[in-house]
Amino acid sequence: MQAIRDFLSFIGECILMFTRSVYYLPTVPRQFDRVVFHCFHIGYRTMPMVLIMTFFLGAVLALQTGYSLQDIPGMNVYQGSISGQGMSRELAPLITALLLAGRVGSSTTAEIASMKVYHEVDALRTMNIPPERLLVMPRLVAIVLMMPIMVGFGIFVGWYGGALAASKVPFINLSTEMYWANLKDVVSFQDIIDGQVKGMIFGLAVILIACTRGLRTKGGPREIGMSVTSAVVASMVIILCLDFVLTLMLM
Amino acid sequence: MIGRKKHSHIEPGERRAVGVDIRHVNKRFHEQVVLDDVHFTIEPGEIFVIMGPSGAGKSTLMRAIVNLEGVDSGDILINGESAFRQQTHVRMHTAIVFQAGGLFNSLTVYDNLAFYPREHRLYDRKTLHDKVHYTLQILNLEGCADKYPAELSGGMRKRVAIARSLLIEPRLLLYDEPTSELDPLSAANIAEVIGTLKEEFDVTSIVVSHDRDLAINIGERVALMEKGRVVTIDTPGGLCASTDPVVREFLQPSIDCQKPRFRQAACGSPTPY
Repeated sequence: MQAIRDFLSFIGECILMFTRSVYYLPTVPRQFDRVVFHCFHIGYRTMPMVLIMTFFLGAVLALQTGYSLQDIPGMNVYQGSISGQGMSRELAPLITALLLAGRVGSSTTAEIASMKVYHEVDALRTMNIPPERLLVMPRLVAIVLMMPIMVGFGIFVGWYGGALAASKVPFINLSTEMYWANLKDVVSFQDIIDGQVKGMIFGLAVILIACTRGLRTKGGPREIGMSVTSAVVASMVIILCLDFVLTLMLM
Repeated sequence: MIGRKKHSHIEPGERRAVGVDIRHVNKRFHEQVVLDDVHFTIEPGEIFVIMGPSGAGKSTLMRAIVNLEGVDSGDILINGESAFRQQTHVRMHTAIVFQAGGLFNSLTVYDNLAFYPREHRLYDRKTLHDKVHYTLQILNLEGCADKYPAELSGGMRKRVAIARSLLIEPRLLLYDEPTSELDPLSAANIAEVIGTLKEEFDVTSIVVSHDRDLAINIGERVALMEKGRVVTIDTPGGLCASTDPVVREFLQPSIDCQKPRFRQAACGSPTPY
């Protein structure tokens, strides 16, 4: 019972953090440097990993479905639609968000938690600088800007991974032209938009959880480590819960 | 040692220092009483030391003054304004030097000092540069501008924290255990800085410390706290002469009030024993 209460209280804090951060949105022009820094850190530095993972995910998806469909004559031509919709609606936003939770979420929590423990956050407050304005809002803006780019690239690279696997693996043996033709027939622009919406919501959740957990930290180095672990775990669980809800809503 | 002052920040006839009125403040953490009907007044420009053993509620009271900690009942007025209801306005002229410095470890000393003015857009680039270097100079920190806090000694970090708080141009300056973890010479130096800043910048200083030498030798009045209550408020001389058993117990083993470890800055340079 206590665990559920703690979880609900944490979610409430995240929502409060979001509303407080949105209040400081008009200060974005003054914090342009910080937004650019976080865009670089969140987007540019995470992009190579996103591309590698989505490429192989697309290829594995094609392999796995190709293996299952090989015994049903004529079904292999649907490789394009399976990879196309699977990557755009589900896998690219999900894998990007999970990667973000591990890479950016953990570093964000560690940074903010150590600032909290070593009184840097208190110092900010006494200087009339709310941490939501300086530490949270620029990250939220950066994630909203960078997530569509990362998910977009992830989708396309995943499709290419699928195309490569479908054309080169003998038991699938689907030509690249057939793969792309089937993908174009089935995947609509709305599918890509749905993927972007999912990705953006996942990204916001990751940053909010990381920042809230960081600002909640009390104690010393051990508690910083515990905060990082709990932020990453909470992010992953909440991403998967949100994924289920969003998938239902976007169907 | 404090460098020579080039110019005063105070306009002739202007009174910058503010008074603090702590009114029947109570606070509990769960069942534990941390502040129990704390009630006293600090005069403008005074160096007021809050002294007591660990767990007496000193730091909680100090955090309440800057509204980093809420209270269950009572109020704290700074220059007549409630620290809780008019937080933004009160904080504009209040600075705090944290026990561990509270410096931004990923910024250089220069950027630490320039942080507040930059965020609030107080000065143009040139003025800011001059002000930061002037402040570094009066705290004898020239040459440290490009260093990171981790590269400095404990005493230097405290002085950087004080320098940073001066850039806020405070009227009320709070120090949390300013001499903790410092060697006697550095502690004497910080004590001198506290006294000199009071004279030169006309600030009200609240020093929270369990260092009895510091309390007796730099405080104009000293409050002794125990278990969340203010046991007594007196001048250092009065405290040394007190026959109150709680005061006597706290001052044991006895400290030599005639031969202080520090002298007040206004009286001359510090004399570490």
